[in-house]
Amino acid sequence: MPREPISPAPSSDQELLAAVNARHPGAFDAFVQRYGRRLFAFGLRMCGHREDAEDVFQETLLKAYQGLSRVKDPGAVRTWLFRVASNQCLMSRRKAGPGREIPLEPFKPEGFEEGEMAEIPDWSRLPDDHAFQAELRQALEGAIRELPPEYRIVLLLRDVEGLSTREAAEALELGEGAVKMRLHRARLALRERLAERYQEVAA
Amino acid sequence: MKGDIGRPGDERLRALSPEERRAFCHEVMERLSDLVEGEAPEDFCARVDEILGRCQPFLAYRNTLEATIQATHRLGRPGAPDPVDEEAFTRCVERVRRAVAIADRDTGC
Repeated sequence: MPREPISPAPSSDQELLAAVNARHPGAFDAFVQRYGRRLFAFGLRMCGHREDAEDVFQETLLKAYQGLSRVKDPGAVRTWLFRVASNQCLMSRRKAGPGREIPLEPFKPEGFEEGEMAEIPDWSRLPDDHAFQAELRQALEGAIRELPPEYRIVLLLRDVEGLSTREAAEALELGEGAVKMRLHRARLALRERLAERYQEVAA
Repeated sequence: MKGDIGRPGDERLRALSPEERRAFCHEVMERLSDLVEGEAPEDFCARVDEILGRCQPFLAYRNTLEATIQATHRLGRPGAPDPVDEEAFTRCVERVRRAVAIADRDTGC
């Protein structure tokens, strides 16, 4: 794969896909530059280990090089890439961690069904300054790592990478209902972890 | 959902029968993401607002879920600090280049 960038650089996904499939010099390099960072970040968050994330990155992009000609719709490239990356991440239990169900019951506020809830600190009202945002981000990354892999991957695809429910369902070969359910439970789990961290500050 | 913050333990929730309360609370918990993102049906939103619109604990729970979702979205936005180490990324790109070169050689490209 030559290193010289193609000139002019393809501006649209359609042009880039066509250039990659035609094996234009530098086209795949441009493709890696366009999608690589997001794929690498996804692998890091999903696998939790840099070495595993590097393997996922390499395998995904090699498969992309070999298989992109099958993707006819440029709009489907991102979904296709994340499908390949997701499969790579989930294939090894070592990479993704042990699976378990997230039930709904533990997230019901105490006293909810009795109509007698105690006051809940609202940390969303804390000052939204740079220091708080940085700490929140770090707390969130840690909470994401603790999610079971089947829920973590849905959350990463939907809420971090911005795939739609339909795209995430396609990438994971799940029904849309399953994607929605896992996303919601993952979000509740994250909310719970952040509440544990911030409830004293917010009270 | 706007409204004055009432006392904890909304009386309108307690006015439901135990079975209605259990079913309503379960449905609220199941559909809270839809409520936060404005994707729940209007009649359901209206019912939740009527029964819980003045319930501080519920509003705090809802607000903190919304804040969690928004913070998660921010992780993936352009310009957000990402976990990618530049040196590791550059190394990975080189590995991909080498792998692709080998693949091309093997297929005669």
